[in-house]
Amino acid sequence: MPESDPAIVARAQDGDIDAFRALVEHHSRYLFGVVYRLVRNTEDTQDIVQNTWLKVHAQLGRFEARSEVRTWLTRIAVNCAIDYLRSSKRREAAVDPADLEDHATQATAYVPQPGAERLVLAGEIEARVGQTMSCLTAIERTAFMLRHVEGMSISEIGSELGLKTSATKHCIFRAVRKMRAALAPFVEV
Amino acid sequence: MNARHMSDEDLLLDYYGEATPEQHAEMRAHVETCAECQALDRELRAVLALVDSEPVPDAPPGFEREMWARLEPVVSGFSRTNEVRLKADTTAADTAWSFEFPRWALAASVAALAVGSFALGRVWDTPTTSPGVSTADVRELSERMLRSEVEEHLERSQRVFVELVNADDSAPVRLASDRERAADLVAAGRLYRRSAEEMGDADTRDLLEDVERVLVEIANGPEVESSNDLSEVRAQITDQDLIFRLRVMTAGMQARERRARPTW
Repeated sequence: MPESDPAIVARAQDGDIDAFRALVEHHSRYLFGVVYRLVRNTEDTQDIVQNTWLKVHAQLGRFEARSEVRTWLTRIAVNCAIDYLRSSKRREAAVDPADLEDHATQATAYVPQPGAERLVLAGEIEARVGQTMSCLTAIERTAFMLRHVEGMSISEIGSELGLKTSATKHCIFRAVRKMRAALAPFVEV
Repeated sequence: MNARHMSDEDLLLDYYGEATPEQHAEMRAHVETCAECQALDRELRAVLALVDSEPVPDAPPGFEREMWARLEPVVSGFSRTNEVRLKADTTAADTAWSFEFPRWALAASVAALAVGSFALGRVWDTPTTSPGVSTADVRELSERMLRSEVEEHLERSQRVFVELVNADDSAPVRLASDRERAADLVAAGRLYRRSAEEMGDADTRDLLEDVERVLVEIANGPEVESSNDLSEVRAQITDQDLIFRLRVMTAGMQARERRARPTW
């Protein structure tokens, strides 16, 4: 029977390097997916996952046995991704570092292209979803993905992002409206 | 039919389970009877389903192995040096308490990283054989980890001071747990202070030194004291503005951490 995650963490807390390695090997691929959804870039995702593990190692003593290991790892990874997005934003434009609003991962704005008849293949739908997600501002995408994919509550997301609950809601609303506009040609009601 | 149509915001909050049970019941009742809101609800759900359909690229083959290759020089470096370092440190300690390594490392988690940072400091100029990791990377990583742990150490010290300063004056204060916490913090703080010194961070070193003096007083104090007996320790904390200085230092560290950008 495989050893449980909390048991592995307990060994890692006692300084067992093999246990820490086991955590890295069990969860890195999952964390890659979590982080990629937020930053949309493979190389940056790899760096952020690495940074996540360093933080995990530094914070092993803080892990409480009653917590879910994967939830704990996810939270640290999300925080690392948020830090990255904030610093990335600051590097690219000298504006208020607390505000990620106008940051998008692509320089040019996405212009929805009408004409559903030209876009019938599933691959094209996927491409449109990816393109739309990339054109959300970083804070919109982060708030939306944390709610939609990670299942965090709006108040939790606000806490992670340093936003009030109302501001967090509006980030998610804006993200969904942009996606509705971009994906309308593919939606049959 | 309810006269008020649902907004996309209402429906979205309901979709995510963020509406109250009453709001949920009201919305569902309305949507069932309102074609317009039904259409909007279906559209929202269809859009969100499309989002779910987006495949997320899988990590490259061998990602886990590569990740460990990046981490191993840092993580293993700390562990390899822990035992020797801690042994030397506790032997040389001029205080009455002693620590058993695994328990100590678990409780503080911090000193291990500081010790590792020393070790890395000695070998920073030695090329690493691990793929994708330069010695500069290792150095930066170790410094960031150390900063993170020092920040936690300072926050813990601050909590001890705040509790003592705010202790109820009307009853004797039980210090047994405070003594234990202070002893742990003294041991870890010494390692951090030496790290700060090696890294040329005089501000952190000086604050750690001031904090340590008070922690030693607490650690060596009796298990139960009257509030009057505590006045000297409280005076040391307040006269040196230790709580304020700790807050300033940790806020600065948090700000630096937020600004830090991974460069490896």
